[in-house]
Amino acid sequence: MVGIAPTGNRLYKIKIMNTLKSLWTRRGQYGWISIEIIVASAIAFFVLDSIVVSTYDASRPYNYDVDRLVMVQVSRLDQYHPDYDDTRMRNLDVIEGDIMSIIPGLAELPEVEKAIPLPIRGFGGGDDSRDDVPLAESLHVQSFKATFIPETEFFTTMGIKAASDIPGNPSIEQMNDMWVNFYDEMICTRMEARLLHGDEYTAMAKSREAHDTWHAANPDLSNPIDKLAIVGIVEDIRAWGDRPWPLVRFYADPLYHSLQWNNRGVYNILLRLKKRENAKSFAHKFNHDPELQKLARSGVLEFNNAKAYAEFNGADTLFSPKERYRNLLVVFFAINIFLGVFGTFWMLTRKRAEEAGIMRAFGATPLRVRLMLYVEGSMIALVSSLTGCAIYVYYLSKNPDQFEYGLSGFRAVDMEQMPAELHSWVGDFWAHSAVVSAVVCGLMLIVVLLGIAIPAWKLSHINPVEALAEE
Amino acid sequence: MRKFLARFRQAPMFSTIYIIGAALSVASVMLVAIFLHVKTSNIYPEYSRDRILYNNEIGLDFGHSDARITVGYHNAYSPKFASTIIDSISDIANVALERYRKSANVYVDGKKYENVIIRSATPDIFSIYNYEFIEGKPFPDNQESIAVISDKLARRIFGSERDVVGRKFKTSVLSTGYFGRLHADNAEFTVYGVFREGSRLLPLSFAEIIYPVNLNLLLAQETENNHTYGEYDIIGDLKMTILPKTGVSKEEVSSKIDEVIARQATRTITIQKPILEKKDGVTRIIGSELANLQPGEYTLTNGTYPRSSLEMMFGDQSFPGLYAEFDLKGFTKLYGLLVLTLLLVPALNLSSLISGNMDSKMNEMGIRKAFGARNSTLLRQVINENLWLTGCGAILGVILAWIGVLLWKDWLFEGVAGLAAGELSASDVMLDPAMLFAPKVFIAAVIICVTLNLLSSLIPSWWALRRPAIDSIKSKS
Repeated sequence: MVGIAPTGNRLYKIKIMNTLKSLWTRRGQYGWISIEIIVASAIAFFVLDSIVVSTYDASRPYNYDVDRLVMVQVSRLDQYHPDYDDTRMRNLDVIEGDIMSIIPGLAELPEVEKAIPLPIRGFGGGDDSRDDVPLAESLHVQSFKATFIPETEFFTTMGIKAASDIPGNPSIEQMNDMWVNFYDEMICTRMEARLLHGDEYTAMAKSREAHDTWHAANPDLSNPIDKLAIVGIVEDIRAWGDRPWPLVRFYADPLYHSLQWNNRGVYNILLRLKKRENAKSFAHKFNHDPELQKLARSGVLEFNNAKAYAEFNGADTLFSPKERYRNLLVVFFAINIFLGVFGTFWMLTRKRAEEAGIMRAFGATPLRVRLMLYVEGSMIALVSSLTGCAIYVYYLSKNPDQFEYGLSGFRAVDMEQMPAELHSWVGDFWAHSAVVSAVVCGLMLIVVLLGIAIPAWKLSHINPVEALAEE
Repeated sequence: MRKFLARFRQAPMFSTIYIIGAALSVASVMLVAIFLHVKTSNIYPEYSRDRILYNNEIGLDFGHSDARITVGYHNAYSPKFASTIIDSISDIANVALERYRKSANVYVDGKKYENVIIRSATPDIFSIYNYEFIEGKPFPDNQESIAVISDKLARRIFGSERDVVGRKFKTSVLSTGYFGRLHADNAEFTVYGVFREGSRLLPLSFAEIIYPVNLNLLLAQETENNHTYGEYDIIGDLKMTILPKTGVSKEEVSSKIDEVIARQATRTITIQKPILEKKDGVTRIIGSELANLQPGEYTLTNGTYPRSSLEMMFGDQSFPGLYAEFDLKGFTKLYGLLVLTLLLVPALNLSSLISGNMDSKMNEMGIRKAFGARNSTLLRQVINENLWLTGCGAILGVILAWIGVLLWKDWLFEGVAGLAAGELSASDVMLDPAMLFAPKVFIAAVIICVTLNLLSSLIPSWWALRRPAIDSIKSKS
């Protein structure tokens, strides 16, 4: 059964019906491979779902200079250190002074453009502070709550930009120095301003009015989180590796106040490196160079650790142990399918030698012979993997709690209720299923074609005279 | 064997692919088996792991007039309450009191050694965990300033695990709190014994330094009103590790502990109670004060404790609180499905190879059928031939599994030790030979091998042998 008709021109006509007949003839062998691909595809969908979503979420830009940032952590001395002083160790003024005395030395390093202290919460602490922002009755969305130390050039060091097209919006240099009151005010991202007040261009005025009205009616109470006055708007940024939405709000937290609430004993100093410096290499160098570490020694504090900011904020940790095990499963399936396809097609080369010999005798090129097998393999791979994905999607449609909306904290959200700005294919069941199915089918197709490659090459280089003579 | 070798030479590519396919399947199932073995089996020093129970927390909750707020303490036990429980179950179990393990710095002759795992316990810990002593012996009751250390730590800090009994070292654990609070837990110890270090993959027992909990001293200090959590009679920092005596079930131990807790809940207790202010519908905590709670005004519970080692290792790690539950059904289903998948997919693979290979044998089968051979005989022959191939694959698979575990042990076992990515290094993971060469693991390999063979060869062979003999003879090889 010849799947490809030899033609005089360079266009190859693939007769689908002949290919289907060829597949049907060999259904005994191909049937097993097909069932294997169906089962593997259904499981691969389950495994790859979270990886596809995590990869998509992590690939979205942070919109600040995360690759130029290094976190240097200092901590208090051990009791047995010769300079240990129990009284000074408990004095926050001393600790604050020591942090500030370390910073100039780090800032003078040739690789460093800027060094600033960071507070414990939000961008500095690695913790998960959030506000549940009400967008409508019973509809809340989480906004990352971050603090910054005023008058330390926080925003410019991070590379965050002001939304300069908004009338009345302070510049980023001005925002650096704003003492944003935790109870009344915030600097937020453009998207949050838009979601809260309809559009970002009038958000500052509207929020101020809402704040003042509520405060007048409730003088003894703190403002609720949706009645804060917006005093500055920055361009959308993503805070951490696991935050898909650019909803971030900033409050001022002076260093001394931040130290009061620091129960970890580790203090963070952020370094902004010059262009073309590599954050990971710099952090690695810092961790292994005692001379550099001496720069982070002052008073009651000593060097603890240095990390590239991307590692610190989870940008790099795509694969937790659980996800690694899932990856291993996908690799396992891929190898099995490769072996199965390779073995099946290898054994078929002997049986199809006559067919290939006839094709070559009639002028078919080796490429045409290989294409015949590739087309057969592709049809098996695509039909089987689509079937497997369809089975799993059907299961998901009956068990929506298994659906991977992506990332804890956002999983249970009903995307249809969310504002359009926050929609993406991740939250749309059919779009999401289509994307993951495409990934699975693509993977299966690649594996099958790889498995066919060598047997196809062998068959295509068969000597037609010998092949026909043997038969 | 000769037939097998002849068949191998006849179809080397088929045989090689078959063996590799079987090896991959066996290797992957073996990795799961080794993983489960490490997490659940009785391995040094937890030779009684299947019987050990953990009673780590007690929950003291009391409501407020504003029903939206419930305040409570969920923490370990006070010395007094722990003693009461020990007294009630000492006839049916050995009980050791422990504090949560910490990471400390160790100092010897001015040199600092970081990240040493240190824990404190009463001497009963040595009757529960079977630490093997190379030198010295377990410390006795109610002692201070002595400790036993692991052989690896002895080599690290003293250069040798021998002749170190009597040598001194210092430890420093700094705990920081809000508002600059600092608690320096520093001590100097004399080495009392050296034990063979266990594996970090058994986090419940792993330690490099163990020093005594002096229960008598703690009880004496409690009577001096040493309030830590506001209710010194109940809440503290001591957890219980329990080994029931032979023949005693978990339920018996659990019910005795529940009785003690129920008796305790009939007492009036003194606690640091939050002061609330309700204004305009908003309730805030504005301070705290000492207050008495009568029976009925508070609840006392140990949640889902005591827990077995399996429940501790596989329990809800994302929220390991008082009420965290271990879903045995879900666990069995997950691992069962995993093993089935790891067998089924390769079995389908191998079936396709066998199906293709059967075509080349149809002539031979047809002739033999014509001479009176029964289908069952031919089927048995095919299965036996494939069993040789599966067996070779199984041996290769077991070797691959061991190599994989040794090469990537840090990567594979990070989840076991409950650590984040990158926290476990290859040198941290000591794999005891018992983990790799256990009889259970070999038996698992044999069962996998036979199951795989049956799954992969039965159906395609049976299907091929359905054809009449004459059709088989006529078919091309």
